[in-house]
Amino acid sequence: MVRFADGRVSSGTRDRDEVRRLYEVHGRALLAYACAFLHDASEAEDVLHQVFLQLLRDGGTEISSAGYLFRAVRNRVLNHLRGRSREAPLDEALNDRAQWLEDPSGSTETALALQSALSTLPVDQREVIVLRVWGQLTFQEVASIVGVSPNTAASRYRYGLAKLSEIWHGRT
Amino acid sequence: MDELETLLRQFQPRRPRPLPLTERPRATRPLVWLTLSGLAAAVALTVSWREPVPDFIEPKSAGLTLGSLNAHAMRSIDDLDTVLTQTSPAILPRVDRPGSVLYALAKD
Repeated sequence: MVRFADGRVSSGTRDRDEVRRLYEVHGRALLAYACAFLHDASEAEDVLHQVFLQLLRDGGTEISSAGYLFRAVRNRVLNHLRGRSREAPLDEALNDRAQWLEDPSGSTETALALQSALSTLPVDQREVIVLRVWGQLTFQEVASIVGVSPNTAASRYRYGLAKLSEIWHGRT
Repeated sequence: MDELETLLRQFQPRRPRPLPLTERPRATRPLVWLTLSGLAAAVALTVSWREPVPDFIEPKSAGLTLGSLNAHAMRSIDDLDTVLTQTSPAILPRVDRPGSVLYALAKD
């Protein structure tokens, strides 16, 4: 049985359809969130798949909000990082496999430049920016996922954006 | 800052690759096992049926009934004796086999 935020309850095959629907709706933002921690986008996709396959397997999961999904991805990513001997260096990360952002104009170069700028931020600022910009969550929701107060979440966001602005406008 | 926020929102995270096909839900697993067990049983039965069954070896005394013995006796007592002599080694313990207990007892 899966219980959704609007009170709907579904079971059986329908559960699986609903989980797949959630993947369609939130997949992009969740991938971006996983990429806030992992430099390799395909590694982030693997983690995302693990979360959703677990949801498909679990009968009694209660999906109360999109926040649940972001929290699940965060937990899974942190576990994944704990199990890894070292984090991949940045220069290793900036290759085609790492691209998770798409430029509306189709320019891979610009998208990778923005990703590169984002990757220079501390992870706690980067994750708040991703949750806010692409997850479209409120500071209250962001704070609940990250485990800080809404004020802290908001100030991390501001600091992060200020730093990103410097980097972005200072690039040649 | 708002300008940068707007810029960021113009970029979209790419769509993750589709979820892989998953295993069937747990509720169907017993059915799968039941089906597999049924198949295994069917195969075992088929194999055992197809194995050559040794033909039943009729004892030499087959056909020896009370009626037939009676008929032999009515014909001639010697005839009956001949029939019994011929069939007895197949249906009675052999007393003339050297080394057997009955052979030893018969000598005594």
